[in-house]
Amino acid sequence: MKVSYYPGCSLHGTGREYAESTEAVFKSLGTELVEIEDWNCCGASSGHSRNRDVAVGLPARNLLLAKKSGFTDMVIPCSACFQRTKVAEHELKNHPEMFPEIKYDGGVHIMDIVTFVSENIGIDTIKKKIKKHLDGLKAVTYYGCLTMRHPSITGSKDFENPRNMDALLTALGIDVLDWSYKTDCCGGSLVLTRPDIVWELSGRLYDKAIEAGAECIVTLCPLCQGNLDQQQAEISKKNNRKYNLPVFYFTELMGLAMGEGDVNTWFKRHLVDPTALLKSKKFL
Amino acid sequence: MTESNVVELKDKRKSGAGVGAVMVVGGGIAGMQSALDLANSGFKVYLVERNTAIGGRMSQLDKTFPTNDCAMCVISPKLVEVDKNLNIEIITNAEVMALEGEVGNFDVTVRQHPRYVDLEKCTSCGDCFKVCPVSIPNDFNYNLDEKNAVYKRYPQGIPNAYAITKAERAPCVLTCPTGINVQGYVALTGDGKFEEAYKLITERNPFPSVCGRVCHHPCEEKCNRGEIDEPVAINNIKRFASEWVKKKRDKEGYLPEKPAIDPSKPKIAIVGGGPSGLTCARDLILDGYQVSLFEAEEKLGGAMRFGIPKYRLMEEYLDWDIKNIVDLGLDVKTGKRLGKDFTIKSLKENGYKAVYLGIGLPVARKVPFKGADLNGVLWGMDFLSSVSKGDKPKLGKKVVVIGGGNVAVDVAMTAKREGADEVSIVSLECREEMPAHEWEIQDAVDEGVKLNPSWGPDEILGKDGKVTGIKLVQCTCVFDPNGKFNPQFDKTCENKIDADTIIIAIGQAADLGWINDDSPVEKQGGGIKSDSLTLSTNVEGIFCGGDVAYGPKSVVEAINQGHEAAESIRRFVEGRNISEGRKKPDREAAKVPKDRPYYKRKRYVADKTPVADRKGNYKEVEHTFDEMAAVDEAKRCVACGICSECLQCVVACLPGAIDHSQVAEDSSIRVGTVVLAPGFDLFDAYKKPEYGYGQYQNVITSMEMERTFSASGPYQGHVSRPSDKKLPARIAWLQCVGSRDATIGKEYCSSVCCTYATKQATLAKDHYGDKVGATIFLNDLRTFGKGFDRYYNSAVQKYGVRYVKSFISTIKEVPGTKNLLIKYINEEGQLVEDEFDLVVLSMGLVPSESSKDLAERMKIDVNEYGFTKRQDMRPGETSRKGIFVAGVFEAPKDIPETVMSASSAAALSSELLSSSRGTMVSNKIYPEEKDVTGREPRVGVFVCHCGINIAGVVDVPAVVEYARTIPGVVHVENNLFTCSTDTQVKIKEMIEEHDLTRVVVASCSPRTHEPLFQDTIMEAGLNKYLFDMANIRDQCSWVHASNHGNATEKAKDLVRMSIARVKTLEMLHELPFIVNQDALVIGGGIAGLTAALGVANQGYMTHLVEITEELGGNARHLYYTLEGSEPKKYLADLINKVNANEKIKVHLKSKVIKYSGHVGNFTTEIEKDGKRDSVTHGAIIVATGGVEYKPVEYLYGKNDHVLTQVELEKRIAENSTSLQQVKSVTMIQCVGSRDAEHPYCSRYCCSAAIKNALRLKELNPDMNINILYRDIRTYAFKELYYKKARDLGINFLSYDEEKKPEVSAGEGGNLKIINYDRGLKAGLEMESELLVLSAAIRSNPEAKMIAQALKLPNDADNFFLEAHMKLRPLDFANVGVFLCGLAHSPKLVEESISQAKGAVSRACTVLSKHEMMVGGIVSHVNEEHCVACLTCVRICPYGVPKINNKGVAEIAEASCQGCGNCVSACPRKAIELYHYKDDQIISKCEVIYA
Repeated sequence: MKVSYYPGCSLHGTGREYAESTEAVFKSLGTELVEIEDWNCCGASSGHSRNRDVAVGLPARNLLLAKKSGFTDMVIPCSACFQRTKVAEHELKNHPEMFPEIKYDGGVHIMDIVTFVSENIGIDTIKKKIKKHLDGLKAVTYYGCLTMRHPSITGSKDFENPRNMDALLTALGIDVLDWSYKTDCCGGSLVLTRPDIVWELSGRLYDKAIEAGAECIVTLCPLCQGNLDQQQAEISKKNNRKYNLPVFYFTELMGLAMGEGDVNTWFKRHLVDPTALLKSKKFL
Repeated sequence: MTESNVVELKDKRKSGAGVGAVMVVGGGIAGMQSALDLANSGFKVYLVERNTAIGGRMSQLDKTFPTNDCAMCVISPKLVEVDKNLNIEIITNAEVMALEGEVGNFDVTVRQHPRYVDLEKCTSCGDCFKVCPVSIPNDFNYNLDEKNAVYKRYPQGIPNAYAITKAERAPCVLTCPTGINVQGYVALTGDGKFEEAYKLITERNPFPSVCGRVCHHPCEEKCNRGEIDEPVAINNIKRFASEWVKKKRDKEGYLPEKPAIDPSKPKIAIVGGGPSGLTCARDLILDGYQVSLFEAEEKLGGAMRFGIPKYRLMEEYLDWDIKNIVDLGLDVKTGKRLGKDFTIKSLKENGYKAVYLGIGLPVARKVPFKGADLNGVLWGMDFLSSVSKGDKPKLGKKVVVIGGGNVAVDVAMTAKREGADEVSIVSLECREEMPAHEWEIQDAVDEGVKLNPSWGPDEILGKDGKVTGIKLVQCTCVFDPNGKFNPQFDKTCENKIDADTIIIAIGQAADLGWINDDSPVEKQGGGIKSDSLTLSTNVEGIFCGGDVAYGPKSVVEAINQGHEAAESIRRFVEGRNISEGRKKPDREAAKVPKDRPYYKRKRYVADKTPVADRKGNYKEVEHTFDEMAAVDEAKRCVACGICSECLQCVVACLPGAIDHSQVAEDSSIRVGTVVLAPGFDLFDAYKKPEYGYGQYQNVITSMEMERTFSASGPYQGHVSRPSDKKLPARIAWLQCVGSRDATIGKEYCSSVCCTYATKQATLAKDHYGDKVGATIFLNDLRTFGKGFDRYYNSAVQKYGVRYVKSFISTIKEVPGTKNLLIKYINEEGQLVEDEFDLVVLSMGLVPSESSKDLAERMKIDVNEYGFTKRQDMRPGETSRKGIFVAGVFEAPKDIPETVMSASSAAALSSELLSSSRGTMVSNKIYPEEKDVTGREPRVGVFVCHCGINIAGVVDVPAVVEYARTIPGVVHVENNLFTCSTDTQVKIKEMIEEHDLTRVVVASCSPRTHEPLFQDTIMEAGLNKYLFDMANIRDQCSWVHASNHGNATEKAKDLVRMSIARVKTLEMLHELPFIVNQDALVIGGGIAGLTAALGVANQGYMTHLVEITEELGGNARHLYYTLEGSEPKKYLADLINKVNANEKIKVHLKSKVIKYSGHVGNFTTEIEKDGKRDSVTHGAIIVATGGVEYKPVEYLYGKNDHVLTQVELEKRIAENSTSLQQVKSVTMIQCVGSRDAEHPYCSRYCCSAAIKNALRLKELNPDMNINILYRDIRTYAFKELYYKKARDLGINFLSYDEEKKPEVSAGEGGNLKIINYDRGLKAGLEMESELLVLSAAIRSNPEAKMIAQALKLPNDADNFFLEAHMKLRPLDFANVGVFLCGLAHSPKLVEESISQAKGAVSRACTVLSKHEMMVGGIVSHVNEEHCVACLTCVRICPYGVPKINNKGVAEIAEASCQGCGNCVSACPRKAIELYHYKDDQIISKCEVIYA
């Protein structure tokens, strides 16, 4: 199976381990990710809030490129990229008159990566590829605020309490714990302008994750992973509490369970070192 | 009731008139009220209810607001009343499918769904319930606890009978190749009934021990639980049940009962002792056939013994299953090989009429292989077989197994146990494609077996004739695109594995060397050709099935073949068609029931022997569940098929009432009109996922809270939260969940939630005081009903309930405690987060699920929310003539309004059908009563077993013998069920035979059964009062279940007491009097006019008395309504009709002075122009109206720019141009309402303000309109206009009662208004050209005088007080006097119209009768003892006792309700209550101590 793949800037930059783990597990699962040729920024960083044409035009170009290459499915790991592309699709469908120069009449199914993995690849396929069950690892899943919202745009059914990443991780043997903060905000890009807000929001996520009994947080969003991973030392100081919560991309844990060889290069790039935890569980 | 004494009155319809019958759809409180009103005013009623019992939502409530009466206590008598009414036919478990015809003559198709319990036979003893193993969430308790698949909706439910619920069959049942009732045995195991579970399994599967270990359990793959978390471990449960029974039987030395062999049936031969052969043999033996089984090996079992390694199936269990078959009487001939020891021909010659070949595939499939002849090459199946026979096949240390199937895996693991150090499996398939089961591959891997997937053997390498290894080539693809086996290899990619033993396990083969002329069976492929449906071969009478027919499959499939073979053989020897009806139809499987939340529960996993302990031995790898695990795991079953058809109930039901064969039946019923009262459902809480319903255990709905409070609810009335059953210390209510919410398409207000939340919070505080904190988060407080604001005030002031106006957007759960976090803006305006132990979602109302179909079938219009479409000024009507609506289907409303609308719908129906009144009703005629006065009592006693309900505890025969010894008793007997129909016949016979004059039944509760037995003795000519009941069930056997001896003694005491009393009882007679069929209506406003016209249209003469000189009342000032109706026009039309009606006599400028008489016979004095006149009539309707309050505040009357809403409305309607230039208008709400002196809501003013504001906006869209309010109370669909007003820019600014707006004269004639803003904590100043006051409604000052004249009660606000605020809102306690309109409480014009029609319906229950009965159980004054102290006059709740002209108290028989209050209060003991006279009570006490 081949699928059109839009990595976005994060997966080529700060989220390289996300990209590498994604590519590795997809390969093992027999799905080829075909990166959109000559893709451009989705507009999430600032473009979308400055100009409507840019907001829609940027992701629309990527969408058109995917379509031109003959793909019907397009998978986007980054939450922000996914959201922007879905917004563009929504705008073009509902207000085509606003964008007379963009000729897109649908045909590409834009999917966030978790949905793609659970629906198009399927848990049964993954189960057969598991070499090492991650039994006993206690985790909370964190979807962030963008992937599901707004449901009228994303089409998400479980936007308050999404479960598909939970199901994937459960299949790997992980003990996925219930908590109420799966889709709360981590502060997002305010980390650059109002870090105090990020400290408060992300700090609460740590507290709640620990309260739920989690040893780590698993996410699918590169910005969330960045905030939660990078700010941990800082927030520890602010809150006068030592946090040590590894923050994984779910694809990294899939890779670990499936026996991918490069796991250590991925984990090396984390600021909160996850290897101690994984070693204590005898996964490394 | 027997046919002979029920007389159907002849159909005396006038030609052209409608049918004198009405169908009421929905058996809730609305349907019941409509039905009772109609049946009591001369119409036949069909009451169709979709549930198994009537009672509706009200039966699920705990208390009712604002009086906190117990809902069940007030509804229960109504249930009995409906049940007893001869002219109401209750049709439960039914739905209306179609309606044809026109008003007056509708043909309604009603579908009766199967109840699976015969209503005639069910005695409601509950024995079926006790044995039913299937627990499903109890919908009556909103899934907070469980009920069984056979259940009674609630204890007081009518009809008083059980019912069974079924869905489609569960997928596990449909999937199992052997057709076991899987759901059934899982349920029985969950219920601890392991023996029963085992029996159910073995009905279809004679190898439960085997299958419990080796079955590939396709049932689990289809299990619906898998959609929630993981499938139920069905196979482990089966294994546990059979092992439990095995252990028990081993201990007890159990021997199976041998079935009788029928010598007339022919001999049958079975060849092959595998699963299919043994199953076939067993089926035929159980049918009485003589069966011989021939097996080539020395032991039975076939592939189960020789193909399955012992670490998966120990011989002990296989032997046990086989023994259970052989012991039935099977003639077993082992060591007999087909072709060698016998032939098909020889079997026939020896008299076997039919033969079944189930000979399996016992040998390995051998294909030519390079190097296969080398020493060290073994074949898979042969290897397994020889190991299991105990031969030690020679094995090296390095073993390679070729093959990817289950046999290959078994071979590999067996090789390990036989001493091999290294074992590898080589398979063509990649890991995912390997045909072996995943869990078996995993076991092998765990034990250290290496997998080499995607490799094909090229050549077995050898040296010196001995195996040294194997050469492999890469297999690129096993199957072609069509899925056919067609392996492709890449020869360039080679591999080599060293080995000293190669075991080739690539298939099994049949042993068909015996086929020859004596056994001429046709082959196919490697096996035998047989018909897949009938298993017939080419030779007549020879059948063949199992692996040899279709290739290697599973044990369960083989078992199924055995069953099929037996069926074919039966048909063959009996000469029947062999294939007819054999093909199984595809059936839809049950789905996961969606009506409940599911919480994840991990599947139990059986322990396994540690890998280290498996080496070199054949210990079982997997272990059996222990009892706890089996039961607990079985309880994970969601019972998706509901009833599992285990048939335990059929065995338990002694009256034989259970009938699983029932199917749905349609019938056609002709009626004149239809009343729709399908009620409501709660909004679906899952549609507001931010509140986590179904995710957080301690978030519940308001109806779940009702059941929590209820004494008969899941927690026996102790408020507990679901997660830990502890008392929640902090409870939060969230208002408007599913109401006033555009995001979910429910913009309307549900009307009742504010008050019911107030009730629940009050009850919590009342029960638990300071132990519980109650907080209600709300938008507007909408306690707009009669007495509701007082109720709210008491919640705040007396109980300390906290109300916070803040809308909650999300709930979070605290892990561990499962408490809930809510963020809100507090009273001080700060954002805070609070923790609560329990959150109650105040759910909005939506039309019941069934009403969508109902509306379509009735072809009536509904609005966008699914409620009936409003008809302008015609409440209760639908878009189709003759179809009326009652209750919430019209709009969200509370119980009293529902009851009013139900009476109104009844009146609308009866008005249309008035000419057919009395044509369809039946009366029961009893034989003449025998006079027993003065005769020595002859008592008959009937003691009931109630199945085992009584007899299981009380020694019934001992009670019977005891009763015989009591003087006066001439006949005693015991009955299995005294209430059953045949016992009624018997009681009548005994009365006749023994000339009984008194009857005692010792059984259950008189509440449910006394009317039945009274009816029976009346049929035998005894007065119904010569009867007494001893409750030896509810008050004896049930409460003393653990103390049999004393319970029997107590039962004797109870019987002795009843006999003592029955001997003192007297015949009582109810006497008829003639009813005056005229009515008196007091008040000529819109309510009075509507009522007068309504009564006249029903065919009765009406006197309409109006105190002023003009008809019309307040409606004369009503120009338009919020919805756009024009009441003035309506009123003019109404007055014309009233004036033109010959049956209405209008008395203007007239006053009611006084009245006398009783229901059916009143005389009233009316004064006009100083002259008095008296009229006689049978009923009174009070419609004296109300008045608008004239404000004294806010400069009203002092400044021309200040006016009331009524005055503004007049200006808008009559002089709108004067308003077009007005730039600003301010309105102030609650002027004269909801203050300390008048703590009630005037209800109409919010609507009036908004309707006038909207009109002003129409006149001048730029007009600035401010509405200063406390709570906007636009209930139901009025909310849409509130939203529209906001959308149009009308400003709504709230004010507090403590800080009312300040009004002063401003510049240029304008008004200056300062309103305190809570958010800003400052006064906001505004200028306004006009100030409009929303003035209160006050009761009519004249009403007080009328209350005195008619001796009617007033409430604290001087409105009239009805008989009961919930269920009798239109009645006075004084029988025959009714109430409607503003006289009752403030309301809107259409509500007055609806009430007036309702009052007509209530009055017609009197007026329609030619005669009424008086007497029976009534109080009687002994005039000689009476000293006229007035105690009885004061205490009587119905105002019946009067001091007569003799100066003593007199109690009118016609009015007395028989409550007995006066009797107990009378200080001189001058009053006695018939049937409960002192000596009748004392007689019981005397015998206790005798």
